[in-house]
Amino acid sequence: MPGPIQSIERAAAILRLLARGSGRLGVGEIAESLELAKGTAHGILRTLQGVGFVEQDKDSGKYQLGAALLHLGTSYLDVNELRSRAINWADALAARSGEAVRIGAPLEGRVLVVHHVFRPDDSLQTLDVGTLLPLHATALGKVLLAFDAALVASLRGGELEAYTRRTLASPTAVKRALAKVREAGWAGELGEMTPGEAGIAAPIRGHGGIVVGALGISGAVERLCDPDGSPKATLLGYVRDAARAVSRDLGASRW
Amino acid sequence: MVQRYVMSIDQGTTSTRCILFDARGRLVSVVQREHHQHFPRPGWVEHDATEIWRNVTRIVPDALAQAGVGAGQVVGLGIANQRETTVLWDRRTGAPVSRAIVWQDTRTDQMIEYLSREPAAKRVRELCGLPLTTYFSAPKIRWLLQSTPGLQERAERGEVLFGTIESWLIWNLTGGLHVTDVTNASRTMLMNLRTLSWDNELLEFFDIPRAMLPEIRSSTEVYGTTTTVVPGIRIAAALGDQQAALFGQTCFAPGEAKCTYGTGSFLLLNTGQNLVLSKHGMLTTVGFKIGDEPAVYALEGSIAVTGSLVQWFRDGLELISSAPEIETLARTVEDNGGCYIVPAFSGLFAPHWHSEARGVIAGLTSYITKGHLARAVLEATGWQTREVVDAMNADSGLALSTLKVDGGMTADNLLMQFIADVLDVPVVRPMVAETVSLGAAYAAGLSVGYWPDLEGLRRNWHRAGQWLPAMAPSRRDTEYAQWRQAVELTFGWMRPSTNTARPPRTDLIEVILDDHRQIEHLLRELRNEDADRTSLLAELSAVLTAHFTATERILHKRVGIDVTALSEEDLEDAVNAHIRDEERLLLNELRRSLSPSDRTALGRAFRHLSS
Repeated sequence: MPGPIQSIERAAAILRLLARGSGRLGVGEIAESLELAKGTAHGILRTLQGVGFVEQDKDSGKYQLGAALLHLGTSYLDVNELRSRAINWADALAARSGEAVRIGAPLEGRVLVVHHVFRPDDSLQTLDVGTLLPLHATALGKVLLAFDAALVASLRGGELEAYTRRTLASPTAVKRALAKVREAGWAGELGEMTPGEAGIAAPIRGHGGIVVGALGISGAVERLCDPDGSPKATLLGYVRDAARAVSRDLGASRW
Repeated sequence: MVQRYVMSIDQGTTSTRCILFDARGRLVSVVQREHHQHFPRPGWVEHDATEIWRNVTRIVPDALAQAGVGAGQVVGLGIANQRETTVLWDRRTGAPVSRAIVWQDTRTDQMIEYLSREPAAKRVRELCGLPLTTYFSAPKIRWLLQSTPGLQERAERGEVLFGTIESWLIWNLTGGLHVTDVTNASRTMLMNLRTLSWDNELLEFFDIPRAMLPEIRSSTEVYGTTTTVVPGIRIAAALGDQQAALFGQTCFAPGEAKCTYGTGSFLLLNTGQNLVLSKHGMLTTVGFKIGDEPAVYALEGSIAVTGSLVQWFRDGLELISSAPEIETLARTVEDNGGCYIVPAFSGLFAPHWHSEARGVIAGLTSYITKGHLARAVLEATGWQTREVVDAMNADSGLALSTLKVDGGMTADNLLMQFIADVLDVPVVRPMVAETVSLGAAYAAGLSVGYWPDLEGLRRNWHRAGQWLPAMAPSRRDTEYAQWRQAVELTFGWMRPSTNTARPPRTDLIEVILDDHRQIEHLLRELRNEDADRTSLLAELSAVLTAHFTATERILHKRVGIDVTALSEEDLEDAVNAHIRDEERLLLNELRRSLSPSDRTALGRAFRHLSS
């Protein structure tokens, strides 16, 4: 195991220093207090500024703690807020794809359905907002797992239930699938939860790119997939576009 | 085959949007621009009509460019607009004579107070379906004509024109066509709801020259073709925004209703060709008129405080940091814990009409947490909807079978479920949230034959979500009874001040005016069904007798009203006539002819006799 990383220790010291003083500090004052070279202090401050942990006053050029640091403990996104922000994009996705749309967020080792838009064919459907789905057997769940190591850890303890003969029921198979999801940026589901049903999902990212939920469509395999079982390219495009649009609304600039 | 599209312009209170829809009613492009809100004095709200027009000239080409669509691919344009907002412009130059007076503007409240004392005021509601209040266009036109020298004469000569926003936009888009749609005309207070034409009695009542008014046309018909911005597009429909939402929600048949949940909420119920005058303070309005077909009427009920109660919970109480979080907080508890919030922030409106009421939080115990308060906040919107629906059902004889909803609060699942529970009907959310724009597009597409008929439009409308009632009837009844009990607690909170802090006034004119205001207050109180009528009548009779005695002895003017012999209604008419005549003629004359010392001496004598 490697030893402590010096630059992170120094960054922590700078944050402590800024938190202690009442006003703002210049780069020279910070360097002096911590006995650092001015160039080193400046480099660390620039990095901290990039992630929003410190802010530089435009006029004086001095530094203070950044707003992102204050919200560190509350970075989780309220699921009702998520629905409210995503609702128009989810509607548009349902209208374009002709399929039912769901938004999922992790809850107690499962996928909580946060939002559900009916398939636009006016057939009898019921809202399943509040339902819990398995992580390993749904496209929504696989997206959530792929970008959340703590969630993967929650799977290890329990048995993976095989809902159909296609369900990925071994940890190794799930792990392999998640690597693919991370690489591709989306997840598919092919009869793994219900025979004949398919799903396509993509991540919704919040501030700084953290995955806060998954957005996807689901429906009959023959409507969603090509004969070889891969998702139809147009539908996949719609799903990824919608997820990106919601992410942009939530402030994830790069995705 | 070349794709073809319908264009809509939604000219709203804060912004203007241009949206293109495809043949299946799906959004193809959206462009939006906000305009400035001007607040020159307390209670005044104005828009610059020129700025709004300039925004339109920008968003229309942008919406086409965003979709990569040429003007030739647009089959028609439909306009939906903020209602009642009043623009006056010069026929020759096309320039507005002033800023537009916005529907929310209350500068005409004194004029309304004064007009409501005219004998003909009673007829207003019968003729146009609207109560005499500041929202509607006629008082705003009157105000502009009165306050600008020479404007009345120019309007009489037809040199100055009036229009609501859709008229103003059509005038500019076509280079001088002066028309309005029947739904917008129904919000001016100048249109006869039965004949759908400008009403002589109303024009006379508001003293508004006919020459300045636009021609009233159907909601769906080709008014003309654009000659500017993007020339060659047929203008095929116009509707007021709430009516456009009714149309966009495909509420085409009697008994179908929609509610738009925003800061406040608007519920419109289609009553078909049946013009229903409400006994519960709902408005009667034209829902839409398709081409040459008969007009379809609607009852409209508004709820003043819905989304704004959640905003208050967020900004005033700071119990949540964003509006959607109220659902999260509300779900931390099973029920309201016996707590009810009645948000009568500035009185209670339909169907109660208690302007003196103020809000309450009722049923507080030490058990109540912020979670229960959050529930009570959401439930307040549900119960207020129930009260409006009950009143509409009673007025129309129709029983609401489904409520179609739109607006920001439809993202709140707990609230939508609660509304279904308390109304005991399914609540349905449509897939296209932009129901106002969609309604304008539907109307325009229908008008030019892009969509064949109303059934074709219904097929385009899809359910995005549905909440089914799941509350036990007994629980619903108990909860509703509790809510009504909480509502009753709000009544009578604001009492008119009895001038105890101020020394009695002695100027004759002021003494008489004080008497008049006191008399009017008593008359208003009598209209409240919950009032103690016997004691009010006794008080009124005493005050009137003393006032008339003083008038006859001090002013040497015969009043000729026998307080004891007249019926209540006749007495009210006679008293109102007395007040009007005296304030218009006699008091003005006394102001001119009496010296200040005479006015004080006579004022003391008058007060002595009258109190």
